[in-house]
Amino acid sequence: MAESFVNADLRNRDFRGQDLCGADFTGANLAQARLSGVNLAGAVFRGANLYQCFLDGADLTGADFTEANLEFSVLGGATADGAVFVSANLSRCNLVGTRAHGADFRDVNLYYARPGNADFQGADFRMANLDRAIMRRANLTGADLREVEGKPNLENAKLDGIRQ
Amino acid sequence: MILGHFRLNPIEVNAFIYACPETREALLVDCGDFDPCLPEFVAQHELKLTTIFVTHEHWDHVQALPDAARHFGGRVISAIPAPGGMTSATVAKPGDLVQIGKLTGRTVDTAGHTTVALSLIFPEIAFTGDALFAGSVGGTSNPEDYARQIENVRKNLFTLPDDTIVCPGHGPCSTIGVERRFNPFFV
Repeated sequence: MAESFVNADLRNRDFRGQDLCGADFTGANLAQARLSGVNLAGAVFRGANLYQCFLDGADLTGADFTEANLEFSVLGGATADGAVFVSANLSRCNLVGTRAHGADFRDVNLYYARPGNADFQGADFRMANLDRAIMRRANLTGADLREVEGKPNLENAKLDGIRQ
Repeated sequence: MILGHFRLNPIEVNAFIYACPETREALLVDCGDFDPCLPEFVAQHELKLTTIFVTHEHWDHVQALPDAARHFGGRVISAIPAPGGMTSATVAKPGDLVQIGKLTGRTVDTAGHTTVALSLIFPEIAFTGDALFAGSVGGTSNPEDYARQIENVRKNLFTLPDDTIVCPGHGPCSTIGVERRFNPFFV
């Protein structure tokens, strides 16, 4: 059975080496927690505070970050295929090398985020704020960029088949 | 781990406070602005800030150094002489050790963005100034400096363990493993 951390205070906790597949972190405070390399497939982070949380290399397949705060968090090298980030705050977030095929980024704030070399094939960015996001060499093939705000750095990004 | 990350002034330069959890002795890395959030963090965590480390000479990293030094006291250790006009600063060279309570840091050469620059490496964390950012590197003014910067990062930072946290001069933190595998300037 998946673990429940609903509304828990988990600041600075180190979860490395654990399997938290499907865990429920709704409303939890995970500021500066270390979840690097952790299996979080299908986990729920709705409304959670993940300020400067380390999720590098984690498996976030199908995870739900709706309305979560991920400012300054580190998702570099994570796999987030099909994950949901609707209305989340990803400003100044590290998404270097993140793979998020088909992920839902509608209405997210990616202001000044760092998605260099990220793989966002087929992701949905409708109504997202991409101002100053550094998307150098990101793969946006087939992504939906309709109604996005701001001017991202798209140097050498792959933009085949995008919708805008 | 006690780590404070502060995004200061309009160009969003970072400052960090890193402390020994046993002795509560603390280090401030760079000081582009003396914001009240710095002494507030020190007070909130009951720290004694004993050292300020300067990674490189650029104004956005040193302009509030005299204010911070006056407020916190302690020593200033710097990659360059007289940072922010502070002639009392101790000039470090690559390989020097910096003790913060029971934590021992080591300086490494990361010049390129500026003629002289040092990163400060602890066992779990690296303060890299403008040598290495999440998904990027600091700008350089000619191909020779760029080549030097890339070589220094490869040699002195990318040889650290993958889970070493990278605390850069601007933008979000990262890890050595992420930058070595995915940073567009290296792969």
